[in-house]
Amino acid sequence: MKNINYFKKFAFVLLAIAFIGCAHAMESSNDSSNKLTDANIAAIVVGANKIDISAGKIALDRSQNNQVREFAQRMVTDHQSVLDSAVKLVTRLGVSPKNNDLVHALAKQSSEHEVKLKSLTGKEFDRLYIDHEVAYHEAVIEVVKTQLIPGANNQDLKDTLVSVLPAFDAHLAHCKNIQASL
Amino acid sequence: MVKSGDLVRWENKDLVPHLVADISLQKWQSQNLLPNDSFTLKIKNPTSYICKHHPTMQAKLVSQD
Repeated sequence: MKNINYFKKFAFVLLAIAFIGCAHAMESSNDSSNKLTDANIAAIVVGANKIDISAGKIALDRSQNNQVREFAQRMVTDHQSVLDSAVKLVTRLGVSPKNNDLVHALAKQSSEHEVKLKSLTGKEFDRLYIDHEVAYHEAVIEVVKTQLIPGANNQDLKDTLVSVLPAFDAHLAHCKNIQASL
Repeated sequence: MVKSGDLVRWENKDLVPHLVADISLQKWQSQNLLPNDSFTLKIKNPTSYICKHHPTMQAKLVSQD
C-alpha cells in the first residue's frame, strides 16, 4: 500500500510539473499565440522515450523475472521505434528540440529513479521497476492527451502524438497485469 | 464481417512493431510487422486474434457464413 501511495504521488508530481512547465513555456514563449512550442514538445517526446528505454535496459540487465524482462524488452523496442520516428519527423520539419522545465524535471526524476533501481535486486527490483512503469505511463499518457496534443502546432506532429497513444495504453495495461502478479 | 476463403490484410499504421496471431497462439501468426509492413491471411475459420507484442490488444473477426 505504501508503494501504491508513493507512485500515485509520483504521478501527481509529474503531472503538476507538466502543467507548471507548460504554463512557464506559455509565459516565456515569443509565440504570440501563447502555446507550448513544437520545439518544446519535440524535446519532451525525445526525453520521455529515452527515459523509458534507459529504464528498460536496466531491467534487462538486472531482472530474472521472464514477464518483467519481456515487458522491458518491449519498452526498449517500442520506445526506440517511437523515438526514431519522432527524430525523423522533427528533422523533416526543421524543428530543433528545445528543453524546458518539464524535460529537466523528467531527467532529474529519471536519474534518481535509476539510482534506486540499481540498488535493488530480485523481487524488490521487479516491483519498483513495474510500479514506476505504471505510474510513468499513466502520467505520460495524461500529459500527451491534455498538454502535448492540444499544444502541437504542426499537424504532422499532432498526428504523431495521437498515433502513439494506443501503444502507450497497451503498455500501461500490460504493466498493470504484471504488477498484479508480482 | 468475413467469410471462409476471404483474404484479410493487416497493415501496421502504428509507430511500433506488432505481431498478429490467432488468440490461441497455435494456429497462425504474422512475421514481425514493422511500421508500414502488412500481413495477409486467407481465412479458414473466423477467429479472435491478438498482438503477441501487446497482449492486451485483441480483436475478433466476425463470421458472415
